[in-house]
Amino acid sequence: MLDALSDIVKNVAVIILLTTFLDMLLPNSSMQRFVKVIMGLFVMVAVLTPILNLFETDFELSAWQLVSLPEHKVETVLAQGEQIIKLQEEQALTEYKDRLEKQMEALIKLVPNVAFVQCQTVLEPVEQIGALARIEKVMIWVTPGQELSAQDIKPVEPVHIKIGSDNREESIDKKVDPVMKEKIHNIIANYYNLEKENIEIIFN
Amino acid sequence: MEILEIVGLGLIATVFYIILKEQKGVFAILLTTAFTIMIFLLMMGKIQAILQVFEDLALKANINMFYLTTIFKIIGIAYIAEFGSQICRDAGTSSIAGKIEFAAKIIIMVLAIPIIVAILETIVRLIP
Repeated sequence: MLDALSDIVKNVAVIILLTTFLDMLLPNSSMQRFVKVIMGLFVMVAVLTPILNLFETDFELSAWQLVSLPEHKVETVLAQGEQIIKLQEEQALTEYKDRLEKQMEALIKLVPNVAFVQCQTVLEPVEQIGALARIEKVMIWVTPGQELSAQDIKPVEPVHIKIGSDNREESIDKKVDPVMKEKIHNIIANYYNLEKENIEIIFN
Repeated sequence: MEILEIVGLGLIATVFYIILKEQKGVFAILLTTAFTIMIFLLMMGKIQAILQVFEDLALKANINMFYLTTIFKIIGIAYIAEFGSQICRDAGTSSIAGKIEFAAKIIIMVLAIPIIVAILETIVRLIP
């Protein structure tokens, strides 16, 4: 506290000396009054600043001054901007992928005798910011049958496990319906302008 | 002795001024202007040295340099305006001299606005 006070007194002494010298520099004309008033204001600012700093450590008279702090360098700001753009791009792509998958599922459900369908898309990596990613591959899991309503779902029956006997049921291929597969292939290929070999349909 | 040079130059300029004023008033004004500019240029180096000392003092007193440079600018404007208005007065056109002073006063006030704003902000902060 005493150190701060002695600093203030020292500063005020220097300021008064400075203004006296500046006063001597003033031209001897009608403008002297004007300049003197502003010099008085300057002295007030110079004296008040250290006193205010004593009470509030974070307060400084810095009216209309633009100080560029090291953490606000242009490079840092630009880098942060690029990071934000990347993040937004990633989020937009994820959203785009989700919507594509939902759209495909809705389209496939229009095919008769499809009970359940799940799609997964693989998008090509985007090189240009803002460009729309192309679909690289589509994987579709289809469960044939009538769509089940809430009443149709039966409780789980007891499961009997027999060890030793090989009682696997028919292979997956038996469930494959070639007409349905062709229809789904055509719908997806035409709608999204895809090659048929890029569409993979798996029957459950 | 620099002052002797300046005084000598000033006296010669005055003599020429009186002679020219009788015969060609326009050249007399030109002579005054040239003499003013010459003195101003001669003193420029010294003014720079004084300003440097003031800057050092201000740095020692932890004064915001922004305010000090504003004060320097104001003093410079006052000097330049005074030179101009005096030349105009010598030429007998006090109304033009008055306009130069008016413009200088306005410019000084504009330059002083940041200081005034700073003081007002301080006062507002001090009052609870």
